[in-house]
Amino acid sequence: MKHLLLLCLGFMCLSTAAQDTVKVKTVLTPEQEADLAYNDGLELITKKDYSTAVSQFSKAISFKPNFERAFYNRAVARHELRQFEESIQDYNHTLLVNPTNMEALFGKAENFYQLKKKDSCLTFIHKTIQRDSLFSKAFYLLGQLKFDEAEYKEAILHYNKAISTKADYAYAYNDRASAKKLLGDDSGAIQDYEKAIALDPKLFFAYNNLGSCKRNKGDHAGAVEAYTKAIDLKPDYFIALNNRGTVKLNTGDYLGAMLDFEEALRQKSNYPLALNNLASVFIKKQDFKSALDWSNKALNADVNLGAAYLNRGIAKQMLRDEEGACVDWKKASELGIPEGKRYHSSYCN
Amino acid sequence: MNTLYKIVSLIFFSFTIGFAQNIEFEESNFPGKKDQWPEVKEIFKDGKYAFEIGKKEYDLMLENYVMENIYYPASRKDYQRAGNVYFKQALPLLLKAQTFNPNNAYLNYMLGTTCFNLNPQSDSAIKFFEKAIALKAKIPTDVNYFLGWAYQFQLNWDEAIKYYKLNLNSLKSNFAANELAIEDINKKINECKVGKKEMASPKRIFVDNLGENINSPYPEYSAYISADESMMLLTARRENTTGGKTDENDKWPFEDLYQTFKVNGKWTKAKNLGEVINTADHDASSGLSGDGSTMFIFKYKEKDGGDIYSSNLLGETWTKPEHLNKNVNSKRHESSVSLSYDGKRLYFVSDRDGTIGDRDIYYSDKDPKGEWGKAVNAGPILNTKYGEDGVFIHPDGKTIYFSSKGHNTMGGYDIFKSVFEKGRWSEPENLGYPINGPDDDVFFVISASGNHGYFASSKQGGFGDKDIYKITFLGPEKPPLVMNEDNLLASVTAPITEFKAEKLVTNGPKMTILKGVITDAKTNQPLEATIELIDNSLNEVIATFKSNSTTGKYLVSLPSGKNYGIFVKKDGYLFHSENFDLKSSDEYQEVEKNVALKQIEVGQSIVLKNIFFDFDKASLRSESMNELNQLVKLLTDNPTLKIELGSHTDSKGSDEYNQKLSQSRSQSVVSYLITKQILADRLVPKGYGETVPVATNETEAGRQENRRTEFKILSK
Repeated sequence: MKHLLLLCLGFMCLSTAAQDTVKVKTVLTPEQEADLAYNDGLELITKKDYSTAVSQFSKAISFKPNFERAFYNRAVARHELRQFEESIQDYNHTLLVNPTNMEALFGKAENFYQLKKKDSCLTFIHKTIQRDSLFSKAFYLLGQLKFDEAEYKEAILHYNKAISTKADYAYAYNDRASAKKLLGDDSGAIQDYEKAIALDPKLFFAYNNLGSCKRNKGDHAGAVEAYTKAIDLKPDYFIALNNRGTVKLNTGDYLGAMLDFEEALRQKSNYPLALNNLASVFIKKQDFKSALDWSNKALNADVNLGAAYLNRGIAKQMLRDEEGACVDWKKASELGIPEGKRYHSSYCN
Repeated sequence: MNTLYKIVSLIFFSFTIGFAQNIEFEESNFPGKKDQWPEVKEIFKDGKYAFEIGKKEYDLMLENYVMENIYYPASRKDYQRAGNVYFKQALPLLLKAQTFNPNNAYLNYMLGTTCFNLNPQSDSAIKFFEKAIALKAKIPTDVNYFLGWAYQFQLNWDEAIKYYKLNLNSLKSNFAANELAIEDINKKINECKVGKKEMASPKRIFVDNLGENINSPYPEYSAYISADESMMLLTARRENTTGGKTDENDKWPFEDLYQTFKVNGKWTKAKNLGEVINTADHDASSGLSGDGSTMFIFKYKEKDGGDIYSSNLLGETWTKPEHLNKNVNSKRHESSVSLSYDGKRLYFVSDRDGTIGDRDIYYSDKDPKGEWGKAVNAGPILNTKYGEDGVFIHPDGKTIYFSSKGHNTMGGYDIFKSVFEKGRWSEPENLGYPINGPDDDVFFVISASGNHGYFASSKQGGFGDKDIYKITFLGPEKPPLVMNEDNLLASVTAPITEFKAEKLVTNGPKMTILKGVITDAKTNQPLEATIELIDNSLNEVIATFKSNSTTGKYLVSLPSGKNYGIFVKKDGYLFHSENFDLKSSDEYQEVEKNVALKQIEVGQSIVLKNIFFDFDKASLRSESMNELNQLVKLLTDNPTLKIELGSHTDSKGSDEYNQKLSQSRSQSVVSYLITKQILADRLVPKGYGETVPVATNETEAGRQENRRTEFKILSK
């Protein structure tokens, strides 16, 4: 339809150019105007220009007040723009026009999830499942809700259901793996991350997560390989660069670790974790002056970074500033770092 | 050409060094130096003469020592600088002779022996010994022994073992005659093996000279600290010693006691304790109680071999030292005292009859009359035949530190640690390098926190002779905290952060130091009050302390693993109670608790912190008896007092339930007091339920504070 319209418009333009003196005014029907704007909106969504997309869908709706797909896609665009309340309104309109639109019904649940309105979210998830017991995304979102509540065993049950209804659900495999990881089942997590990657080889974050599981299991080479794959897929993935650096640090490859942390900082300047980890490298290298400098940089980037206080305390102790070390360990303790509490009680009396 | 000259010179020099031959001090051997010969001949003769007298004195001392002890001296201290007066005279003469004739084996042997005896920590002796051996002339076979020992002092363990073994070979030919010497060398070889092992894994510490406020060019040693490291006693032998005299034995001024305080983290200038404590004779610090209120002094008198005295701090003044009784002080030497945290056991060192070795660690328990009981040898796990000294019992009540020439030392006295567990002392553990080394490491004390130790050492770079050093224990290496994050949820962009730290095992002291100031609540004036420490599970008074009359300061050590009741009492005041329920695993902590005692006046109230009820019931637990009896005593001593016993709950449970429970509990306390002959009309039970909270009910700590029993004076 869109192509047809464009063809017509193009023809008209050519005609105008050929006959300079004759002005032709094309009159489109409201239906055509609506379709034209709607098509533009869809194009803009693919380009991730959600704001303009919303305008185009609004234009389409102005020409065609019961344009179900325009309401639906405006809801999608508004969700992306984090205009969750507005998105819900658009889904409501969609459902008014077509009460059987399952995506709209579930879309409301997704918006309520983002608005942290758990009860409403659950209501619409269950409504979705009542109408379509094989609606896999609903089970996936149920899993996510449980994950957020740190009820990982429950989350896994929902992810199982999501996978049973959609066997190639790569995201569900990734998230189930993460739940298993947080339950300490690194082996089970590794299997699921590998399955997620097999289903969607471009899931860079699944590679990163896989690397972290392998690191936990002491498979340093496997971890480095997985992180490297994640970085190959997304060269600016500073999280994987930082993670790979920590594995190198733990295996004594201080130079390799430093290069990774520095690269992570090139991708995300003032990345507090990489700054802190550089301090860790220098603590390991017994260069406490440099460790102090990097800890200070980490704290400039994030004043509440407990680990950086702990590390700066270690550096200060070795630089003979016992008092300063104690102040930092106390602060680390206050920020929830157990080692901070232990060091303070052991060395600061 | 220039290069060729250098090569030839080098070859010539090497040949001279490598193939030099022994040249005797005979005129014919120095035809080109006839003009210098007469003078050098005399210098050599005088130097040799002085050396040989010194060596003879040294050998005689050795012989006497072996005869008396049936083993060789194991510490430099045992030699009492024998022969050093003559070695000092010999040294410049021998050095002068050596510049004239560097290739005389015996001269090099004499120089090595002299240098080593005058300063074993210097490496200067080694080159002379090496040269003496290289000249391949007949010299005393103990050259290998001294060279081994010199290398041991330089921490060159392998070379030391090599020369000890050479000396051993020469002694083995006559095993029967040399049995004790062989035993000595085998001990030294073992010391080197221990030293090598300990040096391979040095302890993580900082060692700092305490600086000019404490140390001087004169010897300072025997530092003792209060448990919280706020005060230090030490011994110094300075020119301005009390009485101004010098000990003829070693030419140093007599010992005096000094005191210093830690102010804002720094030690103040050490001050001579004056003539109440110090006399014109030897007066040395020998121990200090954990709260710093009792010091022990070593005073030497020929007739008693040296005895222990004690002095108490009254206000800001130390009392006249009192001689400890005959159970502690024998006719022999007693020194180095350490008082247990509860003040009931005294550890000390003595060489009285019946020791396992030279000096042994003994202990004496205080009897019910407050007198020190019969001394008991601490036994063969701690004591060896080579002798122990410098005993220090940690305020945790179960860890002992001491110096020993036996066990696994690296040479001389080393500092060891042993823990009393399951009815016996653990095998003494060498505190390791660099705390211990091949020389004497003795008189070590450690703070209650276990973070700082103090010891005396003659190490190079100090202010002169022995200085006091501080050790900062860094504990195991602290691994840095590494941070990771992952994108765990596919549909959520925010990463989840993780901290990763390597496991760190710490093994610090498990105890609490309770300290503070006791004052009058109304006037804020410091008070001298009695502090009773109760074991609540046994309802027994473990220890009694007094706060300082001038400052009101007090300090109590509480080893973990007990439920303690603490009562602060003074006539005319309401008592104050505290409770510390310390689990065995509770780590070191310092709690500062200032106590303002309230005078007995109408309207005054106090919380009874050691009254315990069964869970959800009104029945009193047995641990409450001590506190209840304190209350009985107060009411008996003040027969006109009329009090209200108020019981409070937290907000858990219904208002009605809490009201009822608190009323029953206050009635239980009243009923108990009535059984102790306190008239019922003097006691008003009152349940307040949850109506008068003193803290938040949102936290467990707050709720615990709210659950309490108070009493209030209604009339006097």
